This record gives sequence, C-alpha cells and structure tokens, in this order.
Amino acid sequence: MIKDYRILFILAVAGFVVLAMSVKKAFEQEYVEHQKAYYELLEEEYTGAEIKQVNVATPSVDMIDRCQSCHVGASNPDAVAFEQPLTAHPSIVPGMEKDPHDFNKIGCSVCHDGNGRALEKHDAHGEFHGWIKPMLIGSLAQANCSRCHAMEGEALAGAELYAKGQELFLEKACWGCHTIAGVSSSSQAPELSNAGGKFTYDYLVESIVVPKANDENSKMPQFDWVHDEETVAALATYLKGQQKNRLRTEDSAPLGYIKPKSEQARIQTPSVAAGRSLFAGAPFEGSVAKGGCVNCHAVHNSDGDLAGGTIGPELTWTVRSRGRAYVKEHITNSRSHVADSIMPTFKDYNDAELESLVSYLSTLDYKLGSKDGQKLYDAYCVSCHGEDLEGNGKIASMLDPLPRDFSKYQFVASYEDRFKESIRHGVKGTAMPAWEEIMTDKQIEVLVDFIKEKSLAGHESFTRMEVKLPKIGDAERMDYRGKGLVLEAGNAEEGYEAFQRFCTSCHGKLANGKGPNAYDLEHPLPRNLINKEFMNQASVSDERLYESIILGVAGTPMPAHDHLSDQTILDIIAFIRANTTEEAK
Amino acid sequence: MNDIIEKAKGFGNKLYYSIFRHRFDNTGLTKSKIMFSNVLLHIQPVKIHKRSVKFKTTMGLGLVTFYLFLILSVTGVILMFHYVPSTAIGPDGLPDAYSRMLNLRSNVFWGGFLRNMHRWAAHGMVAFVALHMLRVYLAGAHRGGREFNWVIGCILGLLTVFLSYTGYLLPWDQLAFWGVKVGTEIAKLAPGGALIRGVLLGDTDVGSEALIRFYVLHVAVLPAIMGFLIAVHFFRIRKDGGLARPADTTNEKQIPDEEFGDVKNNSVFKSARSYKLVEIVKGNEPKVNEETDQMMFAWPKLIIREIIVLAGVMAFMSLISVLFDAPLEGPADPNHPTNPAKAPWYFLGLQELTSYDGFIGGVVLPGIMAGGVMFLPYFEIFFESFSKTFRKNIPGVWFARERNLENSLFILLYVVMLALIIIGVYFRGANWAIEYPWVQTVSGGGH
Repeated sequence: MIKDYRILFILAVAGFVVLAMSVKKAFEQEYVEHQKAYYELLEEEYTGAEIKQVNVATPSVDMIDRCQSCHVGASNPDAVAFEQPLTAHPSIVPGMEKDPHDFNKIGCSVCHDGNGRALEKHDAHGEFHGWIKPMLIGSLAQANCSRCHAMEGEALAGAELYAKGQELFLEKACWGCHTIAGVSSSSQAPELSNAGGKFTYDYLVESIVVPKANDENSKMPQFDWVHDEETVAALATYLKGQQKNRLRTEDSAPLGYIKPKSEQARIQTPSVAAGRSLFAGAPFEGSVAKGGCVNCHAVHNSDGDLAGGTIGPELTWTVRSRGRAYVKEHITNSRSHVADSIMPTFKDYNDAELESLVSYLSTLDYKLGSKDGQKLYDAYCVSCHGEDLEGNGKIASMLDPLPRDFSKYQFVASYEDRFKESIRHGVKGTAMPAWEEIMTDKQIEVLVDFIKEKSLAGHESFTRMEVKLPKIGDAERMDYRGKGLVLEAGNAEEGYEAFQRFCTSCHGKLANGKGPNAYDLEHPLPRNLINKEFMNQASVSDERLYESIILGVAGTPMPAHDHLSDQTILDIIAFIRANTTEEAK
Repeated sequence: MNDIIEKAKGFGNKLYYSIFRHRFDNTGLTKSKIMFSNVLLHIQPVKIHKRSVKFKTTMGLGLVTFYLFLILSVTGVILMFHYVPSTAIGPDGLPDAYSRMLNLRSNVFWGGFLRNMHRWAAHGMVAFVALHMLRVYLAGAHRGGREFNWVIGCILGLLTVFLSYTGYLLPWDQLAFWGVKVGTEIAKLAPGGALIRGVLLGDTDVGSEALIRFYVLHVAVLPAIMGFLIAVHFFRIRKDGGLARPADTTNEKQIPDEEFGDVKNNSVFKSARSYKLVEIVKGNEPKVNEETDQMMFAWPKLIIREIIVLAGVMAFMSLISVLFDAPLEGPADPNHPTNPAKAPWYFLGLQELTSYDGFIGGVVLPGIMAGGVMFLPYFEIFFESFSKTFRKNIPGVWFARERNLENSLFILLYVVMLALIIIGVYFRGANWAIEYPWVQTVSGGGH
C-alpha cells in the first residue's frame, strides 16, 4: 500500500511540475528577454516588457504587426551596432536624410511578410510548413514595394533588385510565354500577374530553377542561367512583387501610382541594329525591348562561334533556308508551319519589328566550305540529331516530331532517296529545314554517305520488301475466299472505324500521335497524322502511306499491318487524308 | 471555555458529517461507507476481486481511455470559449476559425498548451481505444454474458474515431481541410455514402456548412452520445460482476492481504460482498456471497490505483504538450491541394487500402472489418453452436490456449492495419508514391 502512495505522490508531483512548466512557458516569451537585453545595451532603465503592436489598416486587410516586440530597436539610430534582433533597420531609400518609412505606422510585415501577430521567432517568421507568406529576408522585401508604390515605368529608389528582375523578365524572354498584365500577353504558359499573391518566394525560385519540380509535365525549359543565383533572385523578387491585392489604391499611394504604359515605345523603322537588339533582348534607342530570341535560339557569327540558348533550333541559316516570309509568319504563329511547335506566338510585333528581326537574321552569313562529312555533320546537323546520330541533340527534346535517329540502321538502309530529298528540301511540318541553299549538292552527297557509313557500320545489309500501291479495280490481296473482291476507292468513314480499331493505341483518337501507348514508346514517336504541313507535302504520297502501313516503318516502333486487307488500308488512308485536306473541318 | 470548544466541536462534526457522512478509519464499515456515499466512487463496488487491481489484468487501458476522454472534455470546453466555427474572412484576411488558431498560439495565455493537450489527447484516445480492444479480446473478456458490452465498446470506438475526425477539421488549415476531404471522398464510394456525405457536409464539398456541422457534432452531439454509452459500458461491467475472470480463481496467485492495509472490526465485512453490504448499510439488495476470500475492499487500494493512472496520464500528456506543438499549416485553400493529401493517421490504413482499389479498399474491407469486429463474439457463439464445439471459455485469462486460433487472427488483423498505417504515414510521398521517410522532401511550399 505504501508503495502505491509513493507512486501516486511521485506522479502527482511530476504532473504539477509539468503543468507548472507549461504555465512558465506561457509567461516566458522571447520578446521579454530581447527587450531586457536591448535596454541594457542602451544603458537605459528597463521598466518592464511590453508587446509593441502596430495595426496597419488597409483597404483590404487590417494587418496585426507585433514584430517590434523583439525587433525593438528597428527605428532607433542608436541601435545600429546591435545584433539581431535588436539592431536598427538600415535605410530603405538611398540618399534620404530621414527615411520616409515610419515603422511605428507601417510595421514590418507590410514589406517583409511573415506572420505579424506571432511573438515566437519560428512562428512569426512564418517558417512553419504551408504558411502563405514566409518572411522575405533583407533585400527580397523589395518584392513588396509594389504593394504600396507604383513600380511600372520609372524605377523606385531602393528597389534595385526588383528593377533588375523587371529588366530580366524582358531580357530573358520570360514575357514570350508568360503574361503579366500591362507587360506581356501570351497564352503559352501560366499567367504571372498575381504570381506573388499566389506563390511563396521559395516556390518561385524553385519553379525557375527546376521547372519540373512541381509539375512533371511542365513544358518550361530549364535555362542555362538558372545557376546564377543573383539572376534568379532578381527575377523571383520581381515575380513575388506581382500581386493583385494592393495595400494602397491609386489615390492613397505614398508615391504617385504611375499607370502602366499600355503602349511601350516601339521600334518604328526597321533596321538590322534594331533586330540585333531585339534578338538579344536589349533595349534599343529608348524602346523597352521585348525580345530575347537568344535565350532559346543560338546563332553562329561570321567567325563560326556559336552562342545562344539550346531550346529552339539554331537560326544561322534560317532566313536562307526558309525565306523571309516564312520566318515572319513563324514568329507570329509558329503552329501554322509546325503543328506541334512549342514556340510562343509573338503576335504583338509590328511589321517594323518583324522586318528588323528578319533583316538581322539575314545578315548571318556563316557557311562551311568543307567537304568533310564529319565537319559538315558537326556544323549543320549535330544540334538536333546529336553527336552519336541518335537524334538526341541538345535541342532534340524540345522538338516535336523528334529528329530522326540515324542509329536505327534499318531506316537509313531503307529510304535512301527520301533521305536526300529531305535534306535538300526539308521536311515540312517539322523543324527540318531545306539545306539546298546552304549546302552544295556535292556536300549533301558527302553528308549522306557519311551518315550511311556511320549508321550501317557493323550491321549486315538490310533489304526491305517492295510493295506497290494497289490500283482501284485491282483484285483484293486478302481475297482468300476467292470471292473475286475488287478494290474500291477508299471510304473515309469506313477508314475512321478501322483507324479507331487498329491505330488509336499509338496514334491516338485524334490521330495526333498521342495515343496512350505513345508514352511508353521510345524515339521515334508515333507520327502526328493531322499535321497538315507534313501530310500534304509531295513526298508523303499515298504510296508511302500504304507502304508504311502494310510493311511498317523500318527502324521505328511502327509495326507491319499485313493482316489488314488492301481495302481497309485504302480506307484508312482516305480517313487520314480527309483529316488534313482543306475540306476537313 | 471548554463549553465553547465542545460546542464548536459539535458544530464542526455536524458540518463534517453533512458533507462526508463517514470517517476515515480502517474499519470495514467505514470502508464500505466511503464507497457507498460518494457519488464518484459508488460507480465501483465496495468489494472487488483481488485480480482487478493487478496491472496484468487490464493494464489500465480502458481507464486511460476514459481519462483521456475527461481531459478532452475539459480542454475542449476551455477551447470552446475561444473558437469560432466560421470560415468568414476576418479583418486580418484569414478565415475566422484559422485566425483563432493563430491567436491560440500567440495571443491567448496558455492557449497553445491547451490546444496541444487537446490534439495529442485526441490522438492518444484513438490509440488507447484500439489497445483496450486488443486487451479485452486477447483476455477473452468479451465473452460470458459480456457480448453486448463488446458491441457497445465497438460503438464507443467508432464514436471516438468520428469525434477525432470531426475535430480534425476545426482548425481550418490545409492539414485539416485536405485530411477531411480525403475521408469524405472515400465516403462517396459507399452505397448511399453520397447521401450521408451530403448530410454531414451540408454542401457538395467541404466548406463553411461542413465546418459548422462538424463543430456541433464535435462539441455537443457526439460527446453526449459518448457520455451516455460510457455510462452504459461501465454499468454493464458492474452488472456482469466486475472485470471478467475465470469461474474458479482459488488457485490463482493473489496479492497478499497485507497489501491492502489492515481492516479493523471486520467480522461481518470479511465474508460479505457488495450486495450483502448494501443490505447491512442501507436496505434490501440481492445477496451474492461467493469467493468471499478472494474479495477485497475497493477503498483505498483500487481508488488509489485509479488515481495513479490519472496522475500518470495527466503528467504524460502535459509533458507531450509542453514538448511538442500541435501542427498548424497555412489556412485551408480548396484550390491548392497538398501533395500528398493525407487523412489523419487512424484513417491512413484505409487510405492506403483505397489507393489500391476505391470500392473494395475504402468501403467493403472497412465495412467487413468494423461489422465483423463489432459482432465478433456473436460469430464465435454462432460457430460454436453449429459446429458443436463447446469449448471451455476462460474469460479474463490472457492468451487462453483454447482460443489460440481466434487470438492469432485478431492479432493478425491488428498487425495488418498497423502495417498499412505505417506505410501510409511514413512511406508515402508526393503523388502517393512509395518513398523512404528519410528521403522525403517537402517540395515547393507554394501552399
């Protein structure tokens, strides 16, 4: 019995001690210690700690701000030498004798975010998981200048990081895909007009540096400059500053709200110099540049040095191979040429700007005189088709359809003529340009031989069966019951039925090459059969379609379909054609 | 002078007896009176079997569960003084309910501690209900006339989970919103689940209506039902003759009498059990006089041991609440699901099952499990009757050899559920992909 009483006594004491601890914890708050230390450092009398609360009334919210309970010296110039959290806030506006920001009126969380009402560091700095506004430390707070001040147009003194981000947004061509109200308009990628209101700074940084971090299917390329922390910080600060909910209206803003200029100064007379600036994303003669092609596209200068991004095809030869009209059209609407292009549509360019860009591109005159296969390949082909001829060059992953994989020797062995034609005239509806203006016939011969040699080396010869497109009225090849069936002209409706049955698993219900099995296939992927430009070029004849269906395509996942009757194949061809001819909806 | 002292003594005595009605000496009469005349103590019999106070018999699991319920009631009522079940956006730009959570943590004196206590006690109660059930089953204490009390216990268990679940939504943060959302989506799969879900949520989705309904369920409806059923649960234990024990306990090793303190003037009381004592102390009650030598007075040994458990629970819960803060994330945002969105831990086993197959894992298996466990004693009786295997049932004996099959199956059920819960809690990352807990990273933070 005595033992029981002892246990009870010990547990009761322990319970009271722990409860007392909880009460002590409730009494003992960090700010009390900080304030004691502060007055000791100031050598003033400590008269008891108090919670210093600032209520910031704004049209949208009443912010509760108790930060200065710990950061007690924030607006005391004598506290400059103190350690955090007691130190004075450095001046915000450079060159002002007395800083116009009065922390006793606006508090801290207006600029620095965090959880203003909390009194415990971890809580107050918003470091707990999922808090909407983690603290913006130091100069990152510049993101929030725009909550009260106008930031468009003229730069605001003291917001250098934000201003740099603003420039970078144009220079790095972010604007090409992302919309920020008053700056750009593009439907290519998520709108960022309220990026700061929706996302945390860390999230924005992560999304810039590793675009696929939160959405594996993100199409945003990973740029070369993302490892430059300063650039990323400036951009993220600028984006964090894009907030729809402002704390001041245009009437009550401390510094006049400058309305966003709907019309930026634009280039009016075409010139090569203007084109060069646009290409580089640099401002040209007062006009705020909205260019930055160089972020995605590379060019060779006349000395043969390559510079630029690895997201889109190289543009050194573009005007020569595609022609000026094509390039202009491609800038304003890339999908009119290449159905699956990821290039944004730059429909805002005026004629002078387009002309300037094309003029600049046409000054690029780099040409390779060599007749050495390897050198030719390295100069012209390698960026898409890759060093090992496997169709996995630096920019290949951004192209759709993917560049041809020459390591599939069956393909190279099977289609020699088509091969040369493709180099000479290009392949419409894809990123493959015509090279006849750039390379001589001799060079093309050398190149083809080079690729063949490389591709076929170490493989036995590959012979492909020959088939002819059957004519209307021919006997049905599969007429094994001897019924004397005769081929009729293909029927698109019957072809639709057959297509849904035999083709959709890879080519998809829409015939766009994105069927459910396509995601498991490797390079090359199923053809997009509604790519009009591609389907309507001379080399894609009915004969080629017939051959590809019945025999499959050598060196690709497309299998032979010799179990289909000729009539079915003709129907399918009729269906495919109906999709891509003018009469189609 | 002496006269005045005498009168004061007389007055004092009258005052004392008007309140306590008994002395605190060691006589059998007093020991009986203490139990009979105190409202909180007379839940227990005056005399109990010596087994009842042994740790091995119950491990105090049911008692711990009950104490946690008391702690939850007290802390819950205090929290009610501050909480507002509203999703209206307050002047600080946050939903009222969530804003109150922030206040509890930073503005309300002792508020954080109370919330921690309430949160951890809620989790603890779910866990202890499960442990208590396991104990009862493995000791065979659900049989021998106690079958229906087992059913009531199972209903209490379900109520505990439902109470915890309704409370989970109240902070109105991301954790709460998406945790509850997952649960209500599982409910959709059940036949008629959409209707129940609609009644519970008062809307097509978790929102302001759901919050007020969950709140009322959490603070009024469910605790009231719970309180009533707890009373029935306890009452039936008494009417079934106290804790389950074998028919013959004469050969069991018992606690020696000295342990209970000496009893003076015990001639009548020594050989009497509660009902006989009722007769002596008050009036007419049935006599039950068996095993009198195995019986002991509940006061003070039992009461002290019960208070020991209470003190232990209080100390432990307070310590946990001082050391660990209850989680709170950003305010609930229906447009930004957390990835992964996890239900509270006691539902994660079900969520794990649901991830394999919605209907089978989310409705059929849990339904079979809940129904099967609840009516388990009747299934046992059914099989025994029809297969004519009238085995000797030994209630109150741990791991009775005759019940090896049943016990193994029940333990297996627990192990499987526990494994599923552990997988769900620690091994599931973004997109419900398998991830080791030590490589899990919280990506983004863009709420």
